[in-house]
Amino acid sequence: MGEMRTVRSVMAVVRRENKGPSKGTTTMTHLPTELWLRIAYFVPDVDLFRLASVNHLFHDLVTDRRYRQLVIDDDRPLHLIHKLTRIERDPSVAARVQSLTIHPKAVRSACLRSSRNTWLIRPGKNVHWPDAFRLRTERFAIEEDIELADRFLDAVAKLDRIEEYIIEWKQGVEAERTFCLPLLTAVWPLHSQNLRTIKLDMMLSHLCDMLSTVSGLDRLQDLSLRFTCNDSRFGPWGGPGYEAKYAFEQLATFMNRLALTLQSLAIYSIGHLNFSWLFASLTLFPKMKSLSLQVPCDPRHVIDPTGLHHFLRAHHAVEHFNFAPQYCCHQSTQDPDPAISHGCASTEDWLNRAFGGLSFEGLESLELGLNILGSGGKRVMPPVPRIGGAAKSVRSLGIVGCLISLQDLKAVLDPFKMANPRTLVIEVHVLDLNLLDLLASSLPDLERLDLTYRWVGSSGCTDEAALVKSLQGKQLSQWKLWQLVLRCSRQNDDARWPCQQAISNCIPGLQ
Amino acid sequence: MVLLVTSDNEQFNADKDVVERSVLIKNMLEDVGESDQPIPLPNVSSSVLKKVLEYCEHHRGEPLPSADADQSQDETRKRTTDISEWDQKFITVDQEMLFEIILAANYLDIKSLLDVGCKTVANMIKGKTPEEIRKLFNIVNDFTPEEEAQIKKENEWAEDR
Repeated sequence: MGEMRTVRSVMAVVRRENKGPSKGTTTMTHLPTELWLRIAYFVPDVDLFRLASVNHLFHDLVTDRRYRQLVIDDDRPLHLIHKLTRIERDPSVAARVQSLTIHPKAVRSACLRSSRNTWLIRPGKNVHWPDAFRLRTERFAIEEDIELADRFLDAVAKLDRIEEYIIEWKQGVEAERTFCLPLLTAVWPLHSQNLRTIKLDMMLSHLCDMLSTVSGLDRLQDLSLRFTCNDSRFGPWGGPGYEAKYAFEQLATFMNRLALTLQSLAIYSIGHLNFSWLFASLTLFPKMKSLSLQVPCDPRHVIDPTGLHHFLRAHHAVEHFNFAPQYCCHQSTQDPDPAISHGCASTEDWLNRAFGGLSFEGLESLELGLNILGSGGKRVMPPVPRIGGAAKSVRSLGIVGCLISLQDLKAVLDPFKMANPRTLVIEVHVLDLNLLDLLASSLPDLERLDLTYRWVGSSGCTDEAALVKSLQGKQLSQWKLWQLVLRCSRQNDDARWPCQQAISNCIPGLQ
Repeated sequence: MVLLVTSDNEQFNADKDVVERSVLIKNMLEDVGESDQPIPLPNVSSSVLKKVLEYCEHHRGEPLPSADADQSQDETRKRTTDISEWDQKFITVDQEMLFEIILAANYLDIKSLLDVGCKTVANMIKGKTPEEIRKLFNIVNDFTPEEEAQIKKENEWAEDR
């Protein structure tokens, strides 16, 4: 009722010419199709099947959603054949598919299980097979059922509205390579002209081999690359890493071809590689709004920081930035290796060369990752405050990873005093008055706080009266905060309820 | 203050930062500039506009979702049918009003309110049989028996995948 009164206070009925309710009676079935589509969007999958049986309209809506994303991840030949048959026989199904996810391992496994006469030579018929693969199938028998693979490619070719293409091939073993790489190579030309989004999760060597043949992609906006390097090509770490240099240059050549259209780029890896080669080879992406870098970012994994610096400097206008330096190995905490340090005598030198003079002026959101450094629970901290210092304006700040000490929290937040974020999402170990006071004094203009904690501190903030008393002279009482979400990550902490209640009653803006 | 005129010719005065939660009204105000001209809303009745303004007033000052919010959000977060406590109370209305609020939110382009309405209908659908859904929304079964059999078969396969 309180809210009703507030509404009445701001709106006054000035003139009333026609009293009474609106004309006509609206029933649910009068909603336009696009609104039913929006409603169906919120209905869980299990209920969608029942909804499809209601009438033609719902059946059509559900079919749209059911086939919008085609995922080929089942290695049972019958299931694969069933999906292919459906695409082959019903053009309306093929026309609905907008996203295609291929698990090459599953396709190969289905082709292996379906293959009966492995001694027979069966040449690959699909015109998109790479020449080397087709020649091989003309001369030798291969283990996989090539007819099923041909049929798979023919069916995938019928999907002419694919805008999103996802490949999930995390741990590709060498035996899969000879079949899966030609298969993936054959899929690309079928859809590359229409693709807007690509998400690839593969080993680096497979990724480079596959992408070196890809062309088209004139409309691509979002690229997400996740790679590992635990294959034999990169060998043990120890030298300058020229294998990685070649791979990263290949990868950068592919990415640079997308420069005119790319708006969002995400790179995830915990690969033990010298990422300098990658950053040094990347060009400017003038339309890029969103950047996510979740790779090792320390003097041992970005040996020469010049390329990283230039890349970040060139993209100072990004609106969404996710920076999460990854912990790769014990070397992540070491100072630069004097033998190959490119003039960086210390970690401080390296940080200055990587992040010095950077400036991000218009960040809508910044997400910083604090990654666990071994079993001790230390964090990869040094580069994170540097990015904070470079962020001149941030609307929404998120810190991913639990902050243990107030000292760490201060180190992370101090650089943001000028940037003045309005929203903060953060996780801490202990919730107490000192923490809240530090937050209030570091970010006095903060409006929304989403705080996850594990424990309520022993100094306590469970007693409202005591809390009010201890607040005297503290920043908390002047805080502009008006929205607070508190979450306890431990379900059995009974102290959390009175504590949360007391806190919410003591911050003036929350009243 | 902004003057709004409903389909049944009632006039409402409301704060600019309240009515600007509607992208439609915000754009109209930008188009006409500083003016006392009333803004006509021929697709919204007074009873519905009253509810819509109540919603906008409660959510005054909250950030508006960006145009590409759908793309940037995670698929699972996007699909959640959770509705905040206040919104739940607000949307506890009869079916006709719920329906009118959805239409008005769509017309006025208030995405958060549209989602509250759509999620409410989605929650009503959850766990119901096709017959119960037909009864609830007064929907006629327009399938032939052959089509019904075919759909049943499709669903069996889909649930089995």
